[in-house]
Amino acid sequence: MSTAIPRPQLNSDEMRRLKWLLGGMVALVSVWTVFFLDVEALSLVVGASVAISAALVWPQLPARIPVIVWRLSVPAIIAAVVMDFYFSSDTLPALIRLAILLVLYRAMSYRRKREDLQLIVLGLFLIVVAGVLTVSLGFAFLLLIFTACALGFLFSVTLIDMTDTGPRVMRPEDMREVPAWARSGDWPHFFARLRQVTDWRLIGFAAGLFVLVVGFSALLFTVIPRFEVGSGFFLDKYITRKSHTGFSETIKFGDVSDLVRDESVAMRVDVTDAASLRDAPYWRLIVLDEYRPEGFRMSKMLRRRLQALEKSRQTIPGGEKSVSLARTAGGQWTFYVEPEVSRFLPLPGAFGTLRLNNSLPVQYSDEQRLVALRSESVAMVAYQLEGVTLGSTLADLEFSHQLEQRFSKSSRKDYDGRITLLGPKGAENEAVLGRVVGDITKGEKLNAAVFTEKAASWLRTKHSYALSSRIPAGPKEKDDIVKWLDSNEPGFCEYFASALTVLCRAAGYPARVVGGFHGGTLNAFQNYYMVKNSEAHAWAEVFDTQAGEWFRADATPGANNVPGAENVAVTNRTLPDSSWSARFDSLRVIWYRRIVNFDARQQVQMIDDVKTFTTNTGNIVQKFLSELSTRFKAWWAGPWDLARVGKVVRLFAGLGLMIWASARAWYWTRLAWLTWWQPLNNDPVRTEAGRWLGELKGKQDSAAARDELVESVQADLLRLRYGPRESWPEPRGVFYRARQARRRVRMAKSRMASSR
Amino acid sequence: MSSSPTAVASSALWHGPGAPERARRGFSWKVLLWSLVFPPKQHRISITVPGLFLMGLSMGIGTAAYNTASNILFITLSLLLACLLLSGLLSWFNFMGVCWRMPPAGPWRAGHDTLVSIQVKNEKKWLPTYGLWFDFVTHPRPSPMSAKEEKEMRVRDVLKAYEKSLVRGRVNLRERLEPGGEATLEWVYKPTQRGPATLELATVGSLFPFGFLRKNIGTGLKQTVLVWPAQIEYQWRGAASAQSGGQQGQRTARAGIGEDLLALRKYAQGDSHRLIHWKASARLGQMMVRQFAAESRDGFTLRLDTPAEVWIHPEQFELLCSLAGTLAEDLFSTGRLQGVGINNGPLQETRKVRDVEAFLDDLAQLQPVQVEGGLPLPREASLAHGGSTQPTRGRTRNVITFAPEGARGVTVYVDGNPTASA
Repeated sequence: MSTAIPRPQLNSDEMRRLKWLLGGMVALVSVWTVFFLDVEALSLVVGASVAISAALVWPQLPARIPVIVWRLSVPAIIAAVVMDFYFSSDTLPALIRLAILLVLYRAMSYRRKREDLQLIVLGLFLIVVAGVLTVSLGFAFLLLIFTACALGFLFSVTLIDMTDTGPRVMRPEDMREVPAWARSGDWPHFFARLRQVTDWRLIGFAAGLFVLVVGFSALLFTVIPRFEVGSGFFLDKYITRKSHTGFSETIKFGDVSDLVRDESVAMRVDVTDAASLRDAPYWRLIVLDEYRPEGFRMSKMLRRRLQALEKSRQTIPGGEKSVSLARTAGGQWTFYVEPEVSRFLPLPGAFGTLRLNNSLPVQYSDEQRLVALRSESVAMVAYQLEGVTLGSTLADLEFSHQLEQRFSKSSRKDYDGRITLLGPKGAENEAVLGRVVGDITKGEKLNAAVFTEKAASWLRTKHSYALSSRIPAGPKEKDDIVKWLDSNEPGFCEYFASALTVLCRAAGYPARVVGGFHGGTLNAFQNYYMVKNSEAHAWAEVFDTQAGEWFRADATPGANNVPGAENVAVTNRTLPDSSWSARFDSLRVIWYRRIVNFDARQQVQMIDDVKTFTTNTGNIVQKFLSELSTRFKAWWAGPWDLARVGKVVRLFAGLGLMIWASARAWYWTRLAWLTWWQPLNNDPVRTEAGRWLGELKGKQDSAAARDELVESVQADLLRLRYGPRESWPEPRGVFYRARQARRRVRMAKSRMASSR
Repeated sequence: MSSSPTAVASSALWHGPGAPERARRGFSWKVLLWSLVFPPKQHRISITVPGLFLMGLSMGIGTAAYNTASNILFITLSLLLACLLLSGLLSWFNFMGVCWRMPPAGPWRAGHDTLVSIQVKNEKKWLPTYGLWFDFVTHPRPSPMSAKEEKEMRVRDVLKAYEKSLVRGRVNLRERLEPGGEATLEWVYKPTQRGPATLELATVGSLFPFGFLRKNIGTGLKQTVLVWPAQIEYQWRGAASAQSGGQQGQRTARAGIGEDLLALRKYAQGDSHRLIHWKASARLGQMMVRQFAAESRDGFTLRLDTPAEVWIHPEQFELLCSLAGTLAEDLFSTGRLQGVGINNGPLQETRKVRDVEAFLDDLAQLQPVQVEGGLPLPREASLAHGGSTQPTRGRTRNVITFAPEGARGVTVYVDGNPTASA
């Protein structure tokens, strides 16, 4: 006889509706991952989302679409894709748009098993591509949601396929008929039924299994062996990205970059010793050495030189460290630079080794201290620096040599250093610059450092800091920077840096503008530095002929490089950030550290850590046990008296009481759980009676003797289990007698065993 | 029905992972771990097309992950592999605690739909079972070919020919099987050939949960079932009633199928339920049936001889068996069948349904016999005497015999007079 309590189940139509719901969710989740990608598909994503949501809410909608539309869909998609490939310069965005179209097509149509599986594969493609390209934390959440939905979807597909007798593939003509499941019922009723049939134990079990899957996949992720394969990331060949930041290779006067208003994090820096960063650091990105009337830019010579130095590599050994005003910051610095910042990698100073995650084509110039990727990365770039030396100077022997040789042809090679002496031309410009230089030097012969300091001071006296600035009116012959220099207009860092550079060049000192970041905030949760886009900065570098090195000169008010500058902003910046945004940002760093940057070295390190932890724990436990054993032996060997005996008896009694109380508590908690948490059609008394019946039957089968008590208890238990409530004996009494019966059966069994 | 009692008894017991005898063996870690390394006997896991695709996808993603050292691809690969593991785990849970049995199948009739049932039970405490199917196979017991033919053919052809004689069917458990629940599934089958047939529950399988892996558990449950000959139409041309030796309408003091109540007796298996006397049964506390006095009108005796020399065409022989069976049932249902005899066997009285069923069982297995020594008796003479060497109970009248009619037909003779044909 079946002892099951029949539970309500979803019928065939309701299962199909559930499948439709899960299929729609799978489609939506996969389409929404494209939001993370900066491909030109936003309108397509929005349109697809709206259409899929509409089809989800009104499942009769696909049948309203004329058959001709279904027939023409596939040719239309093919035509659209061909045109997209033809007109689009990149392959990958076109593929992504194709995938969105296909997901839309599949999600909108009535499906059989084959089409359901196609939907899952298309969704997986979108998610994986988005994840690989962006390596964003959001990908992880979407992947988990997608996995859960896809598993549920597959489950329903498998169950339905068993009962499906229709054609294996849906044709366009089949779409005009609304399926029976879509005709009958509606969503509120469906969700009510779903709630009715839900067994929370099963839901909990399924959730537990999903957690197990995630845990197991995490374990697999850490133990899958990594090999240092020489090839690099491939997908970025198929997609080009425009930089949205101000870090192009040009500064234009009069433009205020959006960057300085952008509070998002540009890069994160894991520093082994956060205290080593006492001052707000300068993160050097780019050198702009060529002056043009509209602004400064990286000269073609320098670009060509960098291109000539390009090589595919994973590790870059650093050059000679600058010794003056240098301070070594120990440990390892790990940088996580967000996409769209720049192709140049920020550097805090000289370094011993730079290590990338994988081998990439990299342009490195030791003299300029510039490291650049061939093109801007579409994903986060991570790299490590070892042996970092913080300093405001940069030795440049080659430039020194050129200076000594007075920039002779033989000394110039592929870079003509004279470009760093060229400034605004024309009589008007030179007149202004000459006057200003005269004001600064007051006729004295100054060295580069003193001149720079005085020039910076002069600039700060004449101009204040403001994000909004304007170039004053003036004659056409005057360059913009000269006009600004000669005015009292406020300005921001680019103006000050450019003006200082122009003044130094006019005074005969080689100078250049350098772009990067200045500052950073310590994240209080994960102890790393967050550098925001708004901390983008420009400053100047002036060459000291005597020292043979470039030194940093920051004339911007508030910068800390020049003595006498206000340092209030600096103090505020170094306070740890423990806001909610910092908390969420720390999740991203954990994602980068533990997942994105996880490589073979970290794997080995992890294994070593586990081994060390296990060994240490084992030693501690062993030591503890041996101490305990020694103490126990000593205590046991001691003289015994009544007090001691009493103590032991009390200890055992206490233990026994604790065990009994736990068992009772467990029993009543379980009964309460059965009463309160189980669905209403489950009766805890019947369930308990069923349990006793099973137990007594099992025990009695093996015991030969039939006992009257046992039989009467069984009869009562059967009535409790299957009988109407009115005929129930008192349940507690029955359960009590059941315990007695169990004891009797056990005794009979042991007697039987001993008699054998 | 001649089927091995052991086979029948075996198939009536519960089988499967949740069978009681397995539960009594208890849980053993050694068994569990060994089963992970070396699958149990008859357990087969095969990959489906989606599963193959999943594996191909995993390999592709794995290759890309190693080539690009992209941890995102490693995460995806790990998740795919974990899902595969989950699939195996859930499939194992699904079969856990499930047992089944095939109740003994009664005799079948050729050309008639018959139901083969299987009972499934879920012994789990709180996990349901989903998506099982049960594959049945039936085939006639003796090989469709002779041994000589088999020797001359190649193995592949033999297997092909054998496969042709198999009939396969599948029954799906569409509803969820609740914990502690039972279900009975039925497979409709129409046997085409009389004789002993083997009914086998070949496998129990499932694609649960995601359709990546197909798990099949071989059961080895077999039964031999007799297939009675098909019922056929025939033309009765002769007299409506048999010749009577006594006064028609006279009642005799012996039990039979008459209208007068003779006595009450205890119920014996095979008695028609319509004969049960309910009041008497309630009073006496045991099942009692009515026994009527027999009509004095004579019934028929059916005598079936199957010499191989006479019955040379197999189709004609089948027609003979079908006709004999149909005729016996029709006569019994009207109370006019006294006895049946086959070849030189003794005449069996047919009082109960069981007797007719026994005759049908014999018909199911009947084959032409070689008559030893001498020419067979003239047809008319053998029919007249019934072909039996043993004296019947003075029965020389109303003997039904059969003879071939041409190459295809069969004629029924009553006391040597052609009476019916098919």
